[in-house]
Amino acid sequence: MKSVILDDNELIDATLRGDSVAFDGLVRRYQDRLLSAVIHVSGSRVEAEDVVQEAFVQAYLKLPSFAGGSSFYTWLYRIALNGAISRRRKRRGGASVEQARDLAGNEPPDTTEPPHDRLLRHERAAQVRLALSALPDEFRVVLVLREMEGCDYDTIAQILDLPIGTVRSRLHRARLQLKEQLIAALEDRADER
Amino acid sequence: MPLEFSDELLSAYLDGELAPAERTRVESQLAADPEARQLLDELRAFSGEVRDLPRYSAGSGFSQRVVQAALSAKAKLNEEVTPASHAGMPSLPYKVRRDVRLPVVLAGVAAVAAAVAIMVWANYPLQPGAGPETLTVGPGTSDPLVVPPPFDAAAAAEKALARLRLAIPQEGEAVVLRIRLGAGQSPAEALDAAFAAAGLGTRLPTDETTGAFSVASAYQQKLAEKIAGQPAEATLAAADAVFVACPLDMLEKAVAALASKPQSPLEISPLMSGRVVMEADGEGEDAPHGPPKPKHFAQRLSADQFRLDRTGAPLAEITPLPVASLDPTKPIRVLILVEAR
Repeated sequence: MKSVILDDNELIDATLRGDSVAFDGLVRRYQDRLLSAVIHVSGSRVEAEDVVQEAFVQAYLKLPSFAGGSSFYTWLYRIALNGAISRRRKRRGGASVEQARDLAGNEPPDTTEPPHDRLLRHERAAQVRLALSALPDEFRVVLVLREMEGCDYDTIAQILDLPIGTVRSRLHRARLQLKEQLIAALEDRADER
Repeated sequence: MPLEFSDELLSAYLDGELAPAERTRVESQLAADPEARQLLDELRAFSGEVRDLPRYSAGSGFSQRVVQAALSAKAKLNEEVTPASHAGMPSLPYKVRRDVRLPVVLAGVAAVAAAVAIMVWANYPLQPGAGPETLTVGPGTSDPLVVPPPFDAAAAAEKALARLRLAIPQEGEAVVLRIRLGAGQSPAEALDAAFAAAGLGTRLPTDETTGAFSVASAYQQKLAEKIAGQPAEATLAAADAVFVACPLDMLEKAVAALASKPQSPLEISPLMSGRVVMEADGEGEDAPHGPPKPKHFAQRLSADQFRLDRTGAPLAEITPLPVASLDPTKPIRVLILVEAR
């Protein structure tokens, strides 16, 4: 039997008619990408899962009022990223338990990679995550959307409800700060050795 | 009038987001300005590192949980709006909260946990389910007519602490806490809650605990090998491993929190031989003579490194380790392995 792939609008229409399987299809379509983005914004996998779940729930509840002026994707990302930043601000200064294990120890293991290479890669990735995490929220979000999601400036502007000029400016400043952080981290490591 | 050049244009140039006139301006600047070229190269390189960060998978049960939470939230909303129209309807079994995950059994988790037990504790008979010291009471029965006895969290925590105190490591040793959670519970969430209860922060592995990180990675990798063919998220959902160094009172709070959840039989196993975990700085652990230990290393775990009490053995049958002079302020080193069932 030939399978038919429904687009977002068709899944939304079916969801609005009460078809929860269609909503499940929407969730499956975006869950991994959204979770990855939110993890790198929030710095915590556990928190990110909550945020993504809550974003989907909010989207489901507000679906009847979703005008379709933007894509479902941008609308969903806006809900989720606002939630992630809001939670991060609330817990600022709190424990960093999740950050260590969520993002460092829970990566899918690559059984083909030599252990030494894997360690180096983990170490470097941890430095990049730390540098990313140290950026101001407004910089980190644009960087994640650009580098990890591959969003163009117009899409970032839609998701964050910002002028394109602001997106461009923030992205550049984010990259400059990231560069400084990573160079400093490299120098620290060199000093230790 | 020629366009003025600013560094900001370099990022947009990198992203292909410039108008033709701006692009021409940037390219002429790059041709004439080595510093601009260097900055562009650096921006490209560091942006690439962010792009290369790992992606994560939500896991096989995630969408079902989300859909269930959404349906539940909508039902609740409808109840609030028109309570009379829903009078007499059964309430949904889930709430839109994190604990919605707990009743959900992820496919393959039970098989994964069994594989782990065979892998690490092959020499020790394991009795899944209730034993004299396992904590199996609490909600979760599949028969709605059976009312489970109330879960006594304080008693469960006290039993776990009694086992912990028997397992306090001697100098140069670490203690291994092996925790088997109830069906569908998340190891990562259980540990997070326990650490939060104890006020225990953790560090990124690159700080000082690369050795522990290596052990934890090896543990997860072994797990992945044992369940080849299972989705990666099953591995991640099935087990977690973390190295902890903290005073006894903090550790007790964390263990009490772990044991206070219904359906969390807690097994605590003292490590007797070998040094499983060494901090990366090696202070206080390197032999006084001989070559220095490598700063970063991985250490294999094997069954003969552990002395495990049998699952469910009464406390009286466990031989306590001699604890001659325990300094309450001195950090106890613990490798916590948590498995879902």
